[in-house]
Amino acid sequence: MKDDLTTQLIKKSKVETTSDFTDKLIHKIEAQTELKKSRTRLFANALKYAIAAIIVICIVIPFFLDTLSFRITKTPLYVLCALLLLVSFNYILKLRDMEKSLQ
Amino acid sequence: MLIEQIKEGDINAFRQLVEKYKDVSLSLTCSILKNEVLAEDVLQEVFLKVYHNIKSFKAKSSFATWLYRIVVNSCYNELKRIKNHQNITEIDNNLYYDNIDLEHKKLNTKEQQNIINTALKKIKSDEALVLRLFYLCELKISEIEKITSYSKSKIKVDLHRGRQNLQSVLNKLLGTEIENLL
Repeated sequence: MKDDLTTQLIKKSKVETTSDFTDKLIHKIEAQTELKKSRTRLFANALKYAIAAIIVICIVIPFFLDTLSFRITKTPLYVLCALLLLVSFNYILKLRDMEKSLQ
Repeated sequence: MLIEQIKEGDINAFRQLVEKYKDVSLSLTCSILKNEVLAEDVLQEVFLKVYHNIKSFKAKSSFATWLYRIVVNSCYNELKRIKNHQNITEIDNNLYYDNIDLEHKKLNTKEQQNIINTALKKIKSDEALVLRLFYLCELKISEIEKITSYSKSKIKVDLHRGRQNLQSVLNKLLGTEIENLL
């Protein structure tokens, strides 16, 4: 087959995408960008509450136990600590759900 | 210019880029995968990769060469992933045969396109890919070498055999009606 004939034939073989190809693609990109932002936000929140819980466990409770002359009950502090850890864990679960939805 | 805008996060510039390259890229994808629906899905993934990795494009080669290399690699990865590739090819080809109406009449553009695509699906992926890169994308052999990682001699052989096989398949499909194709 001659070159110019092949060129003509192959040029005619150009396959066209569906009409909403670009829109679908842009929508996917926007959704991924939004998910990425949400993921960062969730991770930051989880980290924030985990750090707060660690501070309560390592600094606040020993401070109240060691330095203050009056006695306080430790229970509220442990409850606070548990709450902070629960909130942090909740954000981690949300993060995991988001990862699943991305797959 | 367009690439720089995309690197800065301009989604409209990316839209323009997609519009420019999507049809040719889909044709290349079809050359390898031989299935348009699957090819379009793979192409979506390719453009997502391009968008997320555009910063790694250093303009050492043309953007088209970079893009087509991603297209070709993604298609071969998809082929590896799909075990029943042969079945897809057969089903798709049968569909095309059913759609071809070979009455004694001048074929319209869509019918011509269907017949040529059927013929391209019948020949080997390597040959169809090289034919499209050479004649549709108008790339030089050295550029095709970069995209496909084939040797120069293989590209030349594939071009030669591709042309021969394309003609042979078209002859089988159309017989004396082949002049209606042009």
